[in-house]
Amino acid sequence: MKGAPPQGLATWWAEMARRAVPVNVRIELTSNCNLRCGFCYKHRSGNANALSLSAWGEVLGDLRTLGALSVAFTGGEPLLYPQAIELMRLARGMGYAVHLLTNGTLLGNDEADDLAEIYPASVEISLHGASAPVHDAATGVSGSFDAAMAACARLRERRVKLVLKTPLTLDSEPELEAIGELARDWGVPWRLSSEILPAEDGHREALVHSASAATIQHLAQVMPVITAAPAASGQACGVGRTTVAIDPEGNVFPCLRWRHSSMGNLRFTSIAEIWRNSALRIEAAEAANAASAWLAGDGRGTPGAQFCPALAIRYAGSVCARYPSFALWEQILGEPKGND
Amino acid sequence: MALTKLTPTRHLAWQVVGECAILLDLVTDATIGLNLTGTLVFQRLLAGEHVETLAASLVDEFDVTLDQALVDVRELVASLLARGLVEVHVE
Repeated sequence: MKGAPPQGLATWWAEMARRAVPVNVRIELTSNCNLRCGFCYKHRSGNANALSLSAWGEVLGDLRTLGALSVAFTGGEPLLYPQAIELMRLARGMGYAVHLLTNGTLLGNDEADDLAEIYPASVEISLHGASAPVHDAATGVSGSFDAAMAACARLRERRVKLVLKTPLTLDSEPELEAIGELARDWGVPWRLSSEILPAEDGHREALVHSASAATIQHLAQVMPVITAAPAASGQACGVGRTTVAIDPEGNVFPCLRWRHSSMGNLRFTSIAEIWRNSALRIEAAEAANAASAWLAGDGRGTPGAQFCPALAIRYAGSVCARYPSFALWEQILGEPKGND
Repeated sequence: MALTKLTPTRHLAWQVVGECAILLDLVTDATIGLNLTGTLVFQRLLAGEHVETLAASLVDEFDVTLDQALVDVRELVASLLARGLVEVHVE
């Protein structure tokens, strides 16, 4: 029997980007959260029109038909959505690789048992410190560190794939290295994100929590883990081609950061129609293509420094321009090679 | 004759788009890409087709003998079984 040769994930991903298949789905189940992190960009809307379990099930089924492989449930705190576990079970039953991004405080023994059975590709728990005083100061909720650590222990006991995540903030700076040691001791991946964003309602107070350039520079020197891997497809990102994000009320966006306007709402239009017909999706895809070409031109960009077209537009007014945090990463990882 | 059916285990995530199938081993994070024929076989096995029936139908669709088709299908099944990505049910 003859056929095309087997291929790896990178090749498959590139083919999906070429065909504009929404492989990677991000679902915000709720914008509500039980923590009060000062650096959080989320606007708590109350989610009066949050989609039901059956509506989400239908959306996931439609996305599967379109070619979706991976779904990440986030928030707010996704476990505040009453049927979050049922939805994850449903997604796994469809063949999705499921990811859960949580603060861990609502993840008790029952939820851990359920997750062990569901077998998600990862459960990402945010740690803002390696001790209660630092973590709880960042989250604004006393006891949140102990609850997150207990959740980590429950998942590790059950061999659920745990990932630690730490936004680089002034709050977490004093214990970043200690969190890294924790991850190493546990043998789990540790993801750092350097991007503190303005709030969705436009307020910029969160930005005062951004980590200092000196700290990021120091960490990059002492912790190779901090450097991000280049995008598998060699593109700026998959916006408009392989990623889609949906908010609690069914508004569809090219990605979680590209949300100055919605591609449509699932209450009125199917995801297939939105994905196929949205001018905004095509605009985002073209922007990502332009960003990739710009990065490649004249050797701009630095391997490992990930470029976000949505942030470039927000901060620099163009997808073909450096924005502050990208420039910072270039500085950390190597000298900039081109001019804007 | 005993007939063999396959079901995915909880360690497998997958997607098929056109002639391209990608399989994710959630235990090891390894990915398996299937070629056109492998994709066809995988899809039909997941849809509940028996290994033996599927092999017989491949004889008509491809230029292969029944023995060769059985070898090819069983090879794919064995590879998935070895990784713990599918379970076999003999009926």
